[in-house]
This record gives sequence, structure tokens and C-alpha cells, in this order.
Amino acid sequence: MTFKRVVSGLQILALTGAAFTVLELFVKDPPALTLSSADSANGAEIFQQVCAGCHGSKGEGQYGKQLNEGAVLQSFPQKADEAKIVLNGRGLMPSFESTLTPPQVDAVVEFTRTELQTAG
Amino acid sequence: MTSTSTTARPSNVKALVPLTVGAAVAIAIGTYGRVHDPAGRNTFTLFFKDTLSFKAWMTTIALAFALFQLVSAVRIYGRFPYPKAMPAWYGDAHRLSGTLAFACTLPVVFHCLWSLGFATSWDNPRTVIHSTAGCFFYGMFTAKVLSVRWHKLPGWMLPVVGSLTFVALTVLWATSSLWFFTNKGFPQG
Repeated sequence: MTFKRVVSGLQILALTGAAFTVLELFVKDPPALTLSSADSANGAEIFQQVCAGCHGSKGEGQYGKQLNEGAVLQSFPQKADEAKIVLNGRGLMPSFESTLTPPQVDAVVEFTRTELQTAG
Repeated sequence: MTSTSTTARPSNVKALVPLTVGAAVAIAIGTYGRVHDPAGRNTFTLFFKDTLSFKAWMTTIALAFALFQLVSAVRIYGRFPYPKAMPAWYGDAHRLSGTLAFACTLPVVFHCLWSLGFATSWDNPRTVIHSTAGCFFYGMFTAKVLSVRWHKLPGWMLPVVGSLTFVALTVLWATSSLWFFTNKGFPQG
């Protein structure tokens, strides 16, 4: 097989990949939360599944703001204000109102203000 | 009697066709990013610890391939002296580098659009520039691919569109991977 044919084949693959990407943009739903029990409001689990992607697994901040080392407590002295952001979103942060139940919001906010601050 | 057969001259007006198609692609991507509710989730990680590390590396690899495509294009156009003797496979290597650069961006753009959306808040100008450059990149890339296939375009079309595609990818890299490396540390595997 000549190099030219290999390149042409790869171009067709790339085009197929692009078409697949476009399709996924429209059909892919966010994965459901997989928590340890059906009604679980485990803040740590929720954080890892929903928040860590942007805020980092230790809240160290990546695309999203830093939350650990007192950062979230400084930004939101009141817990309710932080919960409002989780529910409504702000700027680049999406709203999680349709993803998390009120107890889950409370649990993950509590987690960021307690365990996340003391985690190594 | 003189021959009536003529060869159609490249027309600057014809350049509008791939540019218009490219603009439509850019607008479509931006519209999706604005309208779609961002999922806020990790997607691909491969062997990296998270999606953002994966994206930082994939964009860097895409830029490296694009850099080779730029240099090889300049050589093909005779503006660069190396390699002195252009091997037979050089043109295909040029095509391959562009293909691989594009392929590397696909999982990145998927996460950007599906999980994060199109940024509009100037509180964080980097993300607005990145979002805009992303739409521009794919628009220019579309125009470039069409320009390669359509030989009736003016001679300036491919170098200009190709260069703008490269500039857009560089801006994308600088507003994402470079920012990540310098602000958050070198991505860990």
C-alpha cells in the first residue's frame, strides 16, 4: 500500500471522526450520577463526578476556580451564596439545578467547605 | 480562425464560496456553543488524570503537526530551502500532518463545546478569545480544505487561508494549553 493511499485513508477516517463528533454533540446526554446508594447525597462522590472535571480532584482549580486552601470560604462566607452558584451557574460555570437534587447540592457545598479544605 | 477554447481564469469572486462555507461552519459551531447547555463533565482522559490535561496535550500535539504543515507548505511553495531535494513523499507528508492536526482537535473541541460551551463573559477574556478563535479555526480549516480541492481559485487563496488557519490554532493553543502549563503546572500523565 503506497504512502499516498495510507494518507487518503487517514483523511477519510478523520472526516468520519468529525462527522461522529458532530453527531455526538447532539445525541450525547450527560451521564447519570453513579452514587453508592439510590438516595445518596454523598458530597465527596458528587464532587468527584460533577465538579472535579473543572475544579480539580482536590479543588486545586483548573478550568474552574480553586476551591481548597480556604479559597471557597473566602469567596463565599455564607454557604447559601455558594449553593446559589451551584444551582444557577455563573459565567462559565453551568447550572446544576437539573443534575443535582437540593440535598445533593447541600451535600456537595458542605463537602467543599469542610472536607475539601482539610484534604491533603 | 482563432481557437475559441479558453481556460477560465481564477476569479477573486470564486474565493467567496469557500470563505462563505467556512463562515457558515464557524457560525454554526458558535451557535451550538451558545445554545447548548454545557454539561460540565469530564469526557476523554486516555491515560491522563483528567480531561483538561488530556486536552492540553492533544492541542499541543495538534500545533506541532500544524507547524510541520506550515513549514512544508512554505517549502512546497519554494520559499524555504530545506529539504534541498524535496522527496517524492513530501507532499503526502504535508497532507498527513494537516489530517493528524485536525484529528487531534476533535476530542478537544467535543469537550469544549459539549461540556463548557461558548464563553461570552469578558470577566475572563482568555476564554472569550479562545471560544472565538475556535470557531474561526474550524471555519478557516473548512475553507482551506475546499480551497485545496477547487483549482479555479486565485493563487493567493490557499496561502492566506492556510496561514489564518495556523494562526487560529496558535491562538487556541496559547489561550488553553500554554495557559494551563504556566498557571496550573505541566499536565501529569
